[in-house]
Amino acid sequence: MSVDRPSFEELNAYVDKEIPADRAAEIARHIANDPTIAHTVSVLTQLRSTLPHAIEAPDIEVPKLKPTRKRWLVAASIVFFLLACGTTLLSMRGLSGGSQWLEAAMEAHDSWQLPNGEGNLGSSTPVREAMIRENSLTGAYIPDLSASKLSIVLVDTNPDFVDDPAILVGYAGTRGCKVSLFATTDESSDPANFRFIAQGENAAYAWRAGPLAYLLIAKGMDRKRFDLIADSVYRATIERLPFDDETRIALLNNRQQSLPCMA
Amino acid sequence: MKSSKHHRLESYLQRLYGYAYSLSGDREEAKDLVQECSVKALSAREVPSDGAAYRAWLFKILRNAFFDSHRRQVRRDNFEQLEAQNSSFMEYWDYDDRLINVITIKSELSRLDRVHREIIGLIDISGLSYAEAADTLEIPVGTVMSRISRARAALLQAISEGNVRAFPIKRSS
Repeated sequence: MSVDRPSFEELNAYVDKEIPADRAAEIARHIANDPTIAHTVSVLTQLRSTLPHAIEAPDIEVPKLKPTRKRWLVAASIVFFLLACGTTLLSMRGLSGGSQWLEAAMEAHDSWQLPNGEGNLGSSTPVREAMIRENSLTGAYIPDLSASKLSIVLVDTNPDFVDDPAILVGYAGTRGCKVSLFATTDESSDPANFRFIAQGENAAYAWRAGPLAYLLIAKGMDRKRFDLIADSVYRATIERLPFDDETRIALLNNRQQSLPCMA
Repeated sequence: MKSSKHHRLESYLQRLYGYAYSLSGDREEAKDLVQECSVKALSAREVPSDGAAYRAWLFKILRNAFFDSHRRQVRRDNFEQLEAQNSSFMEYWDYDDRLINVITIKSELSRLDRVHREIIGLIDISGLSYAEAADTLEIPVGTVMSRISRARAALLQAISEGNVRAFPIKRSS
């Protein structure tokens, strides 16, 4: 009988009912005759039954996805409406019209890649201040979006698709989200109100703050989340102040309730 | 009204969370992983109809989501190395079994290596069979058998070496 004494590995498989019936019967005989083996099996059984209770799962709901087809239809109709109305969303010197600039900005947003776990430039104040000091576009306000779990991963102080001084800042999230913030001088356009723009899967908000025109772009982001981020960034660029506690908490809660980005 | 896809997925959320937590060791990240997995599962065009295949498919999605977000920190190859380094061997348990409780397990589980936490997460917490775990991890069933044995040995060892001690129970006469 000692020859067939079960190993610890076999005892685990026995407790898990993952062992052939004939061997299980042999092990049962060992358990009946050997207190050490019986104790080990008792401990493993206790461990197995207690483990599921060691992790308390929070209430999790299955996210409600909007039907993709409808989303495309909505996006397409908005784009059609904007084109049909000949809406000039932003006009920039060096380009023939705002829609061209917008298109170039959307392309720039699409072209940068999310880092894989590394490459985070950080969003701490010293890092951001250093980046802004080096920025040819002095005075652009680059907000800290860490409350929404978005970190700065890209800074381009000379985007090649505009002639005017400009800055492009890329923020990356932890669930496939990326957000681009553009700021540029814009002497040719009238001050514009905070407005929403949709183009394909990209959603954007454009506004002016003093001498600067801003554009915030995201792709496939939960609309409620993007709306709150955009509104917070808009207010921060106008007031030139970091987010207050209330805004930070709202951004955090909003992010927790939102879906991962679908782009 | 919830679709059948939703209902089917809903029944696995708690188990997926258990696995996600065992992988990440962080509540928030575990929730994010379950959400990401849910979105991918609901958006998939082809979904396995067989129950066991569906279960393995869901856990694979979650595992891939975890590795995608930790691609540079945790390489898959390192799992094997980590396991080899931590191949704690235990013959039989001869310690006080009163130490096996939710508090000691919770405390020591978080200190285990990820490779051990993961197999415990799949089998003990999420309730997968050895075959399902093997399918999810893309390893032979025999490897699952030895891995879960080593993981539990490591957990029991950690519990026995931990700070918690059992007090003698005083019985009133």
